[in-house]
Amino acid sequence: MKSRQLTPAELDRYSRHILLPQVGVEGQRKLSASSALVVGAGGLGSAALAYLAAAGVGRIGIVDGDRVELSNLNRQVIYPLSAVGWPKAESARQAVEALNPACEVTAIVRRLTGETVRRAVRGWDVVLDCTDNFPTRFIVSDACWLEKVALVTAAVQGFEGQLLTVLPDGVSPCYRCLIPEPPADRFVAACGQAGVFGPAVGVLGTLQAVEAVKVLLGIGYGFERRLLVYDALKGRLRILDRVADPACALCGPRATITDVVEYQMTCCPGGVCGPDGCCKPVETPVKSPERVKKTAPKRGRKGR
Amino acid sequence: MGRKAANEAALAYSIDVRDTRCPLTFVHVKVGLDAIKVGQVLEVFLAEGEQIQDVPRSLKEEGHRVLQVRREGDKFRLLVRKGKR
Repeated sequence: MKSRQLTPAELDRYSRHILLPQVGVEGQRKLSASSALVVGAGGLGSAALAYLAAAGVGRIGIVDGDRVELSNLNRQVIYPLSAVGWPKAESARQAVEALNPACEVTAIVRRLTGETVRRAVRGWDVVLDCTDNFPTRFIVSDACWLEKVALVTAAVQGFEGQLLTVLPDGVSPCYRCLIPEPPADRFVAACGQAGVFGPAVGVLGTLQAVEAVKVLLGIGYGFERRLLVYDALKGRLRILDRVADPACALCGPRATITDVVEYQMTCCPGGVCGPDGCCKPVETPVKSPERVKKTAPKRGRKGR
Repeated sequence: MGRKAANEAALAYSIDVRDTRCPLTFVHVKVGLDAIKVGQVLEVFLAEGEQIQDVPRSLKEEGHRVLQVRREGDKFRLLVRKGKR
């Protein structure tokens, strides 16, 4: 990370962070010189992106192969109504740039695959897993571990969410220590259980930004050995200890996974997701967003 | 705002923050401290009122050592030794 002097406008803009002894001028410079990749620009990504941008993270990457849909807007708060029909990564880039033009934003309008994921996460200071499905979650987690990139992962279903951090320090447990394999389809929420409480997603996405910024600054106590579970309906927050699994196939002493393992995604009734999105590849709109909105394919279960 | 205080060997850096307002005043003081090493001394010119009341206290809270506060006409000259944090 290369540091540079902050301008008078930056001193003013980030003054409330600079005043914190744990951040200070040096910390703010560090953030300006650091990078974060947000995989999934849905509800978690919306909240996380807004705070990463506001905090002045210098380089922000956004990966999402989907388009903004009307049904997203109960939780995906960075999208205006006019963004419906447009690729999320691109709309999110515009939102982030509007919030903080100092952020250098890269938008990647595709779904990550086993082939592309390692290159996508390589070189970032931290990756935020804001995805809504197990196959992507697992390839991102595998890739971050193999490429030694810090990962802050979160998920929300219904009113409940969870969060954990994985640091590439060779000591912390990885994501597979907690969930060794994606659960069988019958345990994964079906279309009828795709309801998700908007503000709860915002809480988890914001917590991801909290933890990611702490990782970038190297301050505080994170979730690399703990799991946070938040139940918005019951108003309950639990923090559980996590330990490394000595039999873990990814990080254990007898690890068998040496490259990302790709699982098949079956999120649409009778369909299988393609590499560029859910059942149908995403194209960039050529005329007005209204036209795209009308012709946009109906999608199946949507989570985060 | 800042200048290298080359003529005074003990001083590593000097800033005048009198034209700033709280809490940006302290941000500028922190920028001044950021420019020097731990153990070095920063000279800060402060205005009467809020600045002279708040800045020495905040510096102590952050672990720095205020060496001197002296009135010079309508302004104050503060010397602070940078602490470890």
